[in-house]
Parts: sequence; C-alpha cells; structure tokens
Amino acid sequence: MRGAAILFFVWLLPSGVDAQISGTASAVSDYRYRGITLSDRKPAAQIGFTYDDPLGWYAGAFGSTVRLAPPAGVNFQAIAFGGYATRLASGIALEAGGDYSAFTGAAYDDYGEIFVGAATESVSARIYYSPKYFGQSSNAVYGEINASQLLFGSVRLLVHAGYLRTRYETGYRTSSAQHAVDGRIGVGVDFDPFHVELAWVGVSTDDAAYRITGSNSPNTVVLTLSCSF
Amino acid sequence: MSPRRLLRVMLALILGAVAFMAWADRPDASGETDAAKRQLLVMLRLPPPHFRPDANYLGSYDTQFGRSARQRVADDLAARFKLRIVGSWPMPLLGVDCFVMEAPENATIGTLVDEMARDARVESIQSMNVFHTLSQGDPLSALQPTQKLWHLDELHQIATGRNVRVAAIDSGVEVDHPDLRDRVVIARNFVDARNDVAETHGTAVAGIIAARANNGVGIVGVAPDAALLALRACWEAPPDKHSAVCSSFTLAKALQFALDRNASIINLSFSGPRDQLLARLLEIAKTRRVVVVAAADPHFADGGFPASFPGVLAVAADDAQDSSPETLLAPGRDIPTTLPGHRFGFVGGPSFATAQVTGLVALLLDIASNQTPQQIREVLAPSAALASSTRHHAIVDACASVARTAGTCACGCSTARATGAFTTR
Repeated sequence: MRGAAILFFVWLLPSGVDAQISGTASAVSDYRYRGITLSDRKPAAQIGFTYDDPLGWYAGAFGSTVRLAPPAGVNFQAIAFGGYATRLASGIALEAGGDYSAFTGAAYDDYGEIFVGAATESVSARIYYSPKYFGQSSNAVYGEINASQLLFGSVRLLVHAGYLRTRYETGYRTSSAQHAVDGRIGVGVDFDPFHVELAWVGVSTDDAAYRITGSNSPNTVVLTLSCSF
Repeated sequence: MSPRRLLRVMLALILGAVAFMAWADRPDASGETDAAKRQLLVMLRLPPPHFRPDANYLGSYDTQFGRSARQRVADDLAARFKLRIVGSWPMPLLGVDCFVMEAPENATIGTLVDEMARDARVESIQSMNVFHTLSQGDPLSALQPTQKLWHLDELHQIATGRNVRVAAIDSGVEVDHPDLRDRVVIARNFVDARNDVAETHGTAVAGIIAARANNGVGIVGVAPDAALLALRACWEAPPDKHSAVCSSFTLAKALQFALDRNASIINLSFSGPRDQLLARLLEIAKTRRVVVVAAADPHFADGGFPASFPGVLAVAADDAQDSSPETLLAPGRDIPTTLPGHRFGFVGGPSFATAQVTGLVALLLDIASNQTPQQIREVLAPSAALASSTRHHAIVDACASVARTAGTCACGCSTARATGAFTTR
C-alpha cells in the first residue's frame, strides 16, 4: 500500500496551472486520534499539505510529532493520503480514497486504510476499512459523522462522533473491547489565516490506549491553533 | 505555564479575536453603488470537500481549509491585472470561490474581463451588475385594500401558507414590526455586517407576503403563516427610500443561502442586466423545483432579468401597458403594507405585485406541496384560458387558482352551491 501511495503522488505531479496546493501548520495541546492520545496527553506539532487537481483528484501528506512508549519516546507520524471527490448537482459531495500511516521508531504499527464518504456543507460522514489497523492482526472498520454549524461571525460549533469496530479487539493496550465510541464537541473560530479550536474529547473505553504509545486517554479538553498557508 | 493557565490565556485570545472581527466587519456603505460599476466577480474553482487529516476530525469538509490556495491565486491575479480584492464568498453550490476585485478608475472593464477569462486559473469571470427594485415612488392616496380583489379571507379558510419557506431577497426587513413579529424565521444581511437593518422596500415586500393575520393590527399577508426568510441583498438608495439597489455579489450570496436552506419559493422584486452568476444559481433553483417569482421590468420587452429567465414566474402590475403574454398580471397599485418604524402605508409597482403572487404561490404549495414551478404557472394562468382571452394577458385569478389546486370551491361558495354554477377546472 505504501508503494501505491507513492505512485499516486507521482501520477498527480504534472498538474495544470489551475491545481491548488494548500497547507496548515498546527499546535495541539493533546494529539487525539479518534479519541485516543498519540502524544501521551502532551502538546504536539503538526503540518499538512494538500494538492487538489482540477478534475477532482486529490492527494496530500500530513505529519505530527507523537510520543511512543519508552524507550522510543518522541517520534514522528506521517500520513499520505489521496482519492477522488466529486460534487453532485444536489450539492452533496462524494469521495473515495485511501491513506497510509507510518511511524518512525515503530514500523510494525504502520497501516493503510481505504474510505468512502459523503458530505454536504455542514454535515459529513465517512467509513474507513483497514486490514491491519495499527499493526493488529485483525481488520477494523471506523465510521464517523461530523457536523459544523455557524453560530455567529466566524464562530462555529463543531461536533464529531466516531465508532470503531474490530474483529477481535480494538488494539488498545488494556482493553479487550471489540468496539469503541469517541466524541468531540467544540467551538472553532476563524480569523484568516488562523483557526483556533477548543474542544472536549471523550472515548467510551476509559482505559483505552494505543499499544504504540501505552498512554491512557481520559476525557479532556483539547486546544488547537492552526495557520493555513 | 500550567495547562490550566494556558487554556485561560488561549480562551482570552479567542474572545479577543471575535471582538476584533466584529469591529473589523463594521459597515462601510459609502459609494457602494458607484464602486460596484468598477468591480469584477472572479470565480476560482472550489474543490469538493474531502478527507484532510490536518483538519482534526471536523474541519475536513469545511470550505475554510484549502482557502489559502485560492487566496494566493486571487492575490496573484489582482497583482497581475492591477486590481484590488474587496471581498470573497465561497459558493459551494456552484463549486466556486467568488472573489470581488475592483479595477482602477481608468480601467476598461470589458477588456479586463476578456483578458482574465483567458487565465486557466479563472473558472469564470463577469463584471458586477447593479439591480434596482421595481417600486413606484409616487405618493398613493386612495384607500384601496388590494387583498379584497383576491378574497383573501375566503382563501385563508383553505390555506394560509403554513410552514411554506419563502425567501424574500430584498432590502432589510423590520423583523420586530408588530405585523411581522414571529413571521421571519431567518434574517440574514449579505450587504454588510449590521444587524436588524429596517428598510422600506424589504419591509413592504415582507408584509405583503406574510403579515400576521387576526392580530388586530394593520394588514394581513397573502400567506400569513408562511415561514419567511428575510435575506438582505439590496440597500436603500437615498434620497428615494422606496427603491433599493443590489449587486450581483450580494444577490448571489443570498440566492445560495436560500437554496441551501431549502426555500420553496424565492421572491425577487428587482431587475437588471442578464447576469451569468445569478443565472447559474437560478438554473440550480430550477433543477430543485424551487418556484422563483420575479418582477418584470416595464422598461424591457421581455421583462428584464431575472424575470425573463426560463422557468421564472414573471409578474407585472395589472396596469402595465406592454407586458409580455408570458407575464403574470397582479394588482400593483395602492397596496397597503408594513413599513419601517412600526408604520403602515401604501406602495405600488411590479415589486409588490410580485410579492402578492409569491404569497399566492405559498397558498398553493400549502394545499399541494409537490407542485412543480410549471404546474404552479399553469394553475395561475391556464394556457387554454390565455389562448381564448382577447387581451392575451395572464391576469392572476387567485380564487380560481386556489380552487383548481384544492379541487374545491374557493370564493363565493354559498352562491355557487346554490346555483350549481361552480366548477373547479
């Protein structure tokens, strides 16, 4: 899957002048990935780039600092992603794509996913399938619904709910559950080119932790400061 | 610094940023109309929303992310063609991000449009058009309750427009007017950042469509239970408070909002030159079977734009001299309605004839919500009746229209039943 991601990028590179490239640089008080911390509940720095082809193809890369279980400590996660999205006459957008997540210092936990999604301007839903989620021997399906509602000015209410189901167990260090629910509700403010977001993040499994980090993830408030470029 | 203290500092920063944005968005309406004549609408492609891991979970489908790329293109275009960016607005319905750019005074707009259209990064481009509402400024004296011509009291026994969403894209509406209170479900200002802007034309149109019934105050709207979306896209043009002007940009923003909020009817009581951006949005409205009712401009044989756009119900005042046979005629003089300052007064002109037909369409959709714009038009002015008419004008008969839709007697029913003279079709 890693090879497929690289080929996809190479294929997109000879773009027309009307392709768009954008990015964000962010600082987060706790890097919560699907509700579970990947930064040992400590701040993380992140950067991302996205390329949008005029025909609807897209690709991108994302990187974040992560804190792995000792002795690995501070390391780096890179996600390559790509896919195709189209907007229907009804205004609903459909997409299909894939992503590949890799960790320095913990290559065994690298994994790939494919996903399909649909979105309106304020609500989106996506389903992911991974044959080897976080290096587990079992496959996993993750579904999410996201919504945003403009409250006033450029202040938005942001809501997310996600559901993870695996064949054997979630892969969390101390949990044997085969499913987990995560939620996020927050307020985001845009003041171009910055975005500030304050959100409560929770997960249904109290002792949930990615094996790769070993850090439990009690419910918490996460602050995100992003700059778009 | 402790995490708790850090959170407090960041929260204070957020609140400070919100306060700053409110200050920065304060209105600056001076010379808006003149400036519009030197402005261009430059549309850049807005990619469909898709997965982005850098946007947390939530922003991944938000138009904000990726906007910097389009801003960069807009900045480059502005520098290359010596333009000034004065605003922008994402229009996901059309898949574009619309940038308003202002040319210097000595620039030739037509040449600029041609040159910029050749740039591959530009999805489409047009000059900013200015639209005018179609009201008459003459003082109206005779007390002539126009609603009586349509036997509103009897029609309201059958339908009141309950929960039919009607978008009035106009100047500002006085939402706390005693006869409009609770009738406006959504009010938005697409002209500037002010709240609760009460203007004459918009308030008058709103009252004609949906003024409250049986409240012991003022008038009754044609569809008193309609859910009104008061979308301010026009602004008063002093010294004549009865008229207002609008621009392609403000109208497009309001039209997109109306479509996004699932309005069943859109009232457009203004006219201007044919506009590419608005035409694209009207095409979407047609696809979604939204009934668009527009005022026909008596200065144009075809009623002007948007009244002449295919599928739009064009309406003129019934005293119009040279209206097209396609144009619906409705009472257009001495119409009592709501005015700013909690007042009432009389208005006239195609703008307000249009508002009355909009109210009537709300009644028809209240009776049968699945009607297409074409079916509505046939109900309002049957082609067979039009062909046999010596005037060849489509005069709207509200009672007959409601009767055709409801399949029952609508007006003067006791007499009709006594003589057996009533037929519904």
